[in-house]
Amino acid sequence: MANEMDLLPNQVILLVIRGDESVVDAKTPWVCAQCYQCGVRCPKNVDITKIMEALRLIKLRKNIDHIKLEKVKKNLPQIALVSATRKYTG
Amino acid sequence: MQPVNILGDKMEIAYYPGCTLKTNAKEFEETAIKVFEKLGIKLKEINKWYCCGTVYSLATDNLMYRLAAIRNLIRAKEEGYDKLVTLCSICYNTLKQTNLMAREDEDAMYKINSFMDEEPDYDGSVEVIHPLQILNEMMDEVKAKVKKPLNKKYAAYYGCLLLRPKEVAIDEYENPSVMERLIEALGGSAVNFPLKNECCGSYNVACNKEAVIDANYRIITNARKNGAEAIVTSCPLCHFNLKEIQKEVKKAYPDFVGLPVYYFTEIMAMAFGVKK
Repeated sequence: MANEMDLLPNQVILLVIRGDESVVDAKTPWVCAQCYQCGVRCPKNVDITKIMEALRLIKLRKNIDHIKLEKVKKNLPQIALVSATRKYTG
Repeated sequence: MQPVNILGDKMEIAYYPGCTLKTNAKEFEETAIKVFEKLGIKLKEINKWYCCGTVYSLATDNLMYRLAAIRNLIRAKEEGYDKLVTLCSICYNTLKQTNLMAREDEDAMYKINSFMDEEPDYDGSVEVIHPLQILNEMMDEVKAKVKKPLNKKYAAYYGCLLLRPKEVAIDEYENPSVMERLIEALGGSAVNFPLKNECCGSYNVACNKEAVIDANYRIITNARKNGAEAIVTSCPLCHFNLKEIQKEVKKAYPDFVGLPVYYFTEIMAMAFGVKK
């Protein structure tokens, strides 16, 4: 999914380290579908997957949903709908 | 590494279906039950089960999302099973990661067990298994059941959740081979497929379909360039993202040529001569 991201995972980590709060508005945490690829390949063993979840939760816990459920197409398998609800809404 | 003799001498194993196996992926469940029966193994659906919660929550300060998986593990234990098999890669990943937490995180389990005081305490004693781990130890038996060798070239697509995080991997997480060995055992040939463990875009399909269309194009084109005539997978969401949106991929990429997509149990059913 890296080619859909506005910031690459390592850039996200750099902004987090710098304390740059603009990182929560990046597209990357929402494109990340928790596939763990960057995490297992990180030579420094940074748990990038978990950091992406944290960035999503900063917004979701303020009740800022990433998607409007009524706009989601209905002809999707449950597995997609439940996952999207879990990851994109608070 | 896989434990040797994963099933012991048991020929019946508890089976957790999950939501999609009963709807979009019915053919996955039906063929799985039949081909395992051919191999002498009964997948016994547990009497009561709930949604596993799909993707595992990584928030360690909110355990609510892990309750559903724990409840399912308790149901299996209550029915007398110490092993639970599940076909869907997402269910497998969620149940397996939750179970690892149950084994390793005493504090979390103290909270969960106290919160669910209507349930017996859970200690992580049910082992979560993916059917490919059973097949990994039964390749000779699989070969012996083949009536119609496949004689086709297949690309084995693992996606993410059978392999990562590495603590739950059913095989070597960067270069798995169990599905390739299964394909060969069924009389097919497995092609080299560098994108076999890339993400298909997963639930991006609900709101960012373009990303899934791009991933589909990359993955299927890579399989095709390596000579594949079909793709084999184990995940109902990968299956949907790779198969059902091929028309839209063709619109976005006119040079795109699709491929058929099967569950690994479907190609087993074809080779065993089992009717759907």
